Amino acid sequence: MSTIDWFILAITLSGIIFYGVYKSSHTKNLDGYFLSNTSLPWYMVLLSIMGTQASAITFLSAPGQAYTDGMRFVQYYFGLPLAMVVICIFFVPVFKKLKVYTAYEFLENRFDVKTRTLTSALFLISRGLSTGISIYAPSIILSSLLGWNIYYTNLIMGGLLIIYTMSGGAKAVAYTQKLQLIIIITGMFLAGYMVVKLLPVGMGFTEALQSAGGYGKMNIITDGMQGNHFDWKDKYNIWSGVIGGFFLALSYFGTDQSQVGRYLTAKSDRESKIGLLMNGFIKVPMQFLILLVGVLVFSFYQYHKAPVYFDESKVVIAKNTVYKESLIKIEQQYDAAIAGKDYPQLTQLRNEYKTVLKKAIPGDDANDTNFIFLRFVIDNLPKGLVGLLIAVIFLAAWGSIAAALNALASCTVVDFHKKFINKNCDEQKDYRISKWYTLFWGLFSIVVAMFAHNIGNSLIEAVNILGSLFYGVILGIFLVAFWIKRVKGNAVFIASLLSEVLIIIIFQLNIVSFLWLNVIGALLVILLSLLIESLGLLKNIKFKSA
Amino acid sequence: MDQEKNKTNMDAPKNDKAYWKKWYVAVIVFLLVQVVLYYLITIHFK
Repeated sequence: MSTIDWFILAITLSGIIFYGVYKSSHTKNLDGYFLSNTSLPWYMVLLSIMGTQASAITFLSAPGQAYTDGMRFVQYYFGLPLAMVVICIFFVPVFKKLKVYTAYEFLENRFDVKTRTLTSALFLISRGLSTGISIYAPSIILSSLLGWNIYYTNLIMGGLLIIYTMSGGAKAVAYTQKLQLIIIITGMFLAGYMVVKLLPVGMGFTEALQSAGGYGKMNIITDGMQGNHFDWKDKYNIWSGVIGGFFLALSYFGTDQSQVGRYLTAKSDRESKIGLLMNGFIKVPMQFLILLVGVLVFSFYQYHKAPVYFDESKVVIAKNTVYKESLIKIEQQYDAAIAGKDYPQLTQLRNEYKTVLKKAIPGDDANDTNFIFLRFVIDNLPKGLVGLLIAVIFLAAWGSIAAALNALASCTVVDFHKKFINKNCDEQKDYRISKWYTLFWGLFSIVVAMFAHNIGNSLIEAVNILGSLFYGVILGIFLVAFWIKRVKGNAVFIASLLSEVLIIIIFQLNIVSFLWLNVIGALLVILLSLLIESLGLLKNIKFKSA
Repeated sequence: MDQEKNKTNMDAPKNDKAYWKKWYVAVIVFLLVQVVLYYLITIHFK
């Protein structure tokens, strides 16, 4: 990176940290720290919801996903607008009426303490782990760019973020997310514009899409059919997107505290609802445009030499092994195929290169999806814009991680500390302990990030898979709470435990694509709790209440 | 006057419901329009 890139990156990041700390100066109690004194208007709620969902992973992986797999990933978001409607009808009025800090407080009201505690614990496990991956995502950029050790990079990334999250609370999170989103949208728009501008003379936007379409990259709508049969393992098609995506979005926005905590900060349920519904309007087109940048990058590389492998740091490692000669030989064949415009051969050679890399670096899956967009930015965009786009990825990461840390702290304080450890804290002590829990979860996430470097696949998928293991069950508990009045706490508690075990078994057996786990998890909880309640299986069992 | 006031109060929740219904329909219709549009783009660039 040039000096001007470093300057822009440093100014943007330090500006956000100072702004976050400045905004935290009026926060003095639990209401301010976790609910922003329920003072935010709908557009702040909208930006906060979007900033929380759109992590660095979104901007890092999505263009690479479109580059390798086409536009069909957008279908994953089709269930989201429907989920927004359901949440506005059923979830928001209840949460706002009960004036809860966390979504799980409602479960104690409806069932009992143990169900609330179980659900909150499932959230803490899944969100704690996925936040670690969210720290790792921008860290790989730095390590790849500067050759820094990934572990130290994780430490620096997580450390900077904790400064304003710990002192700022929900209000600082929301206000920094507003600034972050403005910078992110500007950066991505400029990136898209630059890709089109860098295309050969006489080739415009439509021609670029035509070119990518010829390679199947404009596969926005797919039906998931394999011959005459529906392929349940097909990850992204209209059915898994609408149905699986609906359940995932319903669980994420309706029961994940990192999102619920955002719209609980609204000054009324009207402001919460408008924020959520506007997200229903904006999310799909926004994701479409981010993926489109990936397709345009693909078109760009039809006319410019694409690297045979996009993560140069791994190539350097692999070339220090006995496989050096094999890699160089494939590189020469790759150059010859480009010179001869033998495009089908290029994909085959890229795959061969990955196979050799896997042998050279045992345990590595040689997936370079996350590096495609970044490599393009560094190699082709002008000075200044590179720094801005690196900042975009950092800010996107910080927006979602900050919200997650705030949510993890609120659940730990409200659902565990104030419930089981110290029930009679005064306001000042509550506020101080909340800061320490934010720090704890920040450090926990950094530790997880240290172990995340061998996840494989795309990072965006890793986070979604992790979420899908828990979200279905959590959603099932909430759906029973809202709609099946005759089911009581003991039945739903046992049903949830059984369902979670079954979901992990189904995942291990690899029977269906991960999006379906959300549907199956929710349905399992509903059916099992109904069965247990109807058969009266627990009538002779007494649970000890807290 | 009191009758009128009572009537307004009784209508409030109903109007509120109709107001939100318009929002919900708009979100769903916008999604459907997008799906159709994306389908046409898929066919066009196939």
